[in-house]
Amino acid sequence: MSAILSGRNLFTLFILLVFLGALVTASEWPLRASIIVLVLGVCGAGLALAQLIVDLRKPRTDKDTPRPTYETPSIETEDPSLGARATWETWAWLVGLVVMVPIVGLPVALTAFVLLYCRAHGGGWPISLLLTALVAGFIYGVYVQIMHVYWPSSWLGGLLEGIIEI
Amino acid sequence: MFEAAVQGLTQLMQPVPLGWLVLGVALGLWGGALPGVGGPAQLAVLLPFAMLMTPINAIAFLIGVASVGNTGNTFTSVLVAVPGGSGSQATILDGYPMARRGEAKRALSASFMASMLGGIIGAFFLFASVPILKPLIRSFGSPELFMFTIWGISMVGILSAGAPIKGLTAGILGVLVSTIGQDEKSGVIRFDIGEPYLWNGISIVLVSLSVFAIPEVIAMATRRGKVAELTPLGETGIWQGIKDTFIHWKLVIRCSLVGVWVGILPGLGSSVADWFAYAHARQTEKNPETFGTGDVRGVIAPESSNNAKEGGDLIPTLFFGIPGGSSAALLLIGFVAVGLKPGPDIINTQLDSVFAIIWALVLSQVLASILCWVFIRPAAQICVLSFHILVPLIVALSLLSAFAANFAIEDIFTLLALSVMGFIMKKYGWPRAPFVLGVILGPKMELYLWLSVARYDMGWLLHPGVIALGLLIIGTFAYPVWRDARARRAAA
Repeated sequence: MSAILSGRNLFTLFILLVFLGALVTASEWPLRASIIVLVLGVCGAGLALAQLIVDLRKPRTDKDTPRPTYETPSIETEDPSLGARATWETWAWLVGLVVMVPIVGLPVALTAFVLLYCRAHGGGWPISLLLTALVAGFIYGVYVQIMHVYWPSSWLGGLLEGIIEI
Repeated sequence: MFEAAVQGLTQLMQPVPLGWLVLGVALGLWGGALPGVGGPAQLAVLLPFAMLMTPINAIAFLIGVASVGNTGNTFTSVLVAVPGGSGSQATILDGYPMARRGEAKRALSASFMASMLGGIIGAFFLFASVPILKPLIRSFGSPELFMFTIWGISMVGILSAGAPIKGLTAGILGVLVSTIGQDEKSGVIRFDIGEPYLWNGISIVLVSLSVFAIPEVIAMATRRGKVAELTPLGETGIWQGIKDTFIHWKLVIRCSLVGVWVGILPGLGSSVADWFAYAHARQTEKNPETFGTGDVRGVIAPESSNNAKEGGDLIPTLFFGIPGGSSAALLLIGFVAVGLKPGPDIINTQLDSVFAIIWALVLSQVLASILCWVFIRPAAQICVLSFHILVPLIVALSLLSAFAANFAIEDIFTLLALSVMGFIMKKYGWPRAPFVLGVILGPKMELYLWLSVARYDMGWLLHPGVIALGLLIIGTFAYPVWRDARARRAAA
């Protein structure tokens, strides 16, 4: 049962459902807009179904899954449990960073992320501060001075502005 | 044609484009020397910045970054026995034993020389293809070009070793993603899930970053620490390596031709080029028993091939608008963004830019090898940079690149969502290159299909070019089936 409900099969099922959903949605559009979706959607759904059947008939572990030829070679950790924990931890860092972006703004969130990530993973203060300065300098030099980017206002920035006005 | 060649060179030989070329080459080498990062990931991060440049600066920068990754890869292959990218896996077989024997500098030097010569040969073939392809391209209409886009995606999808169904499905999924947003022909807004943000579609920059860059960063962060210990460089061997390459000049030419051919065929990447060349060298050279034990020919063969591939790769990319692989697909996005029109028209309207690309390719190869020779010692240290330096840097650059796509915060959320998909695709062996190729070729495919139907009704299916390309596509589908059946028969 666990082999049937593996992540691999669930992902293939997800792809199949995406194709089926696209076909249902596109069936309501005029032919001019839907022709490519209908033609390729049918092919895609058929292929995804075929892949699901192949995977269900021949369950594979992550290790014996053939790697595509032109992919960058994977370099795995020796301890799989450490690898899984580190993967979740890295995702947590990324999600945290993305959540911080609307709250404090992209430049502040990025510089804080660089400093905190480097420090938390064994970087000394000198290298952490140097990296942070590098990223802050890049943002200021390229985005502010050269590209004159308008930064969307952050939630915290808006709050501060409101307080100052009061 | 001669005038356009001179014009292309003149445009490139200005201080600003040359400066961008040098920066691009330096970044390309740096990215190549980082184990596991890979050229597409690096190119995806840098692409949005290049999109803001003038065409000639973007050409210089992008070609600099994209064409020398395989030269940089050699450091990790030879010194830590870990391929820096998919194009330098075969180099480990003889490069690492040479380094263990104290001949690291000789192996690296031979590889730099072979890479440079291979790259120049590849650029020469790109140059030579212009007069050959010109009349052929002129005979192509929308039906043939539609079939070409189908063939491109089929090749890249099917030739994903071990995963042809996944490859094709990923390619089709990419085309489906490309249809998100307002359809210009009918005005229908497709798959917007009620979000006005999606009316303009999903930026290809976001797709490439989330599919190539973020999954690699996650993998790097997961590995932790250094990849391996660095093998000592030794003191001598640079001149010996250069001499070795010239002694085996015939091998360099043959393997470069293998590389060019692999590059021309969509779907066969650097990894195929280097293994093909290695196998070719083993089959054709005298005393093949020394291969795998630290034979310099085992370094020269793959290295000349993987760099020659870059020139071959640009032939379908520039003249048909069909990229052969991930890096070529990203280059195509960059070229289109700065106003180039890769496809049949480029040969008539922007030939000077084509030659600027060819010259940039040649200069990048020469410059990369010179930089590697001069900075061999500090460059070797890059291979063992710790993850706590690289991960935050690459994440910061990726997010800044994503934001630069539309200058909208929503892009950051889209990047995260698509990155989850890119990560799962990598984890479960779904080829990512066909997906990106599908997103790039989707709009063209739809346009060519619609033009063909509008102009010829169903009569376009009977065009000789369409029939020939249709047979080619059938052959592409049939080949893996025939190959597997033959392998099963041989095993029985």
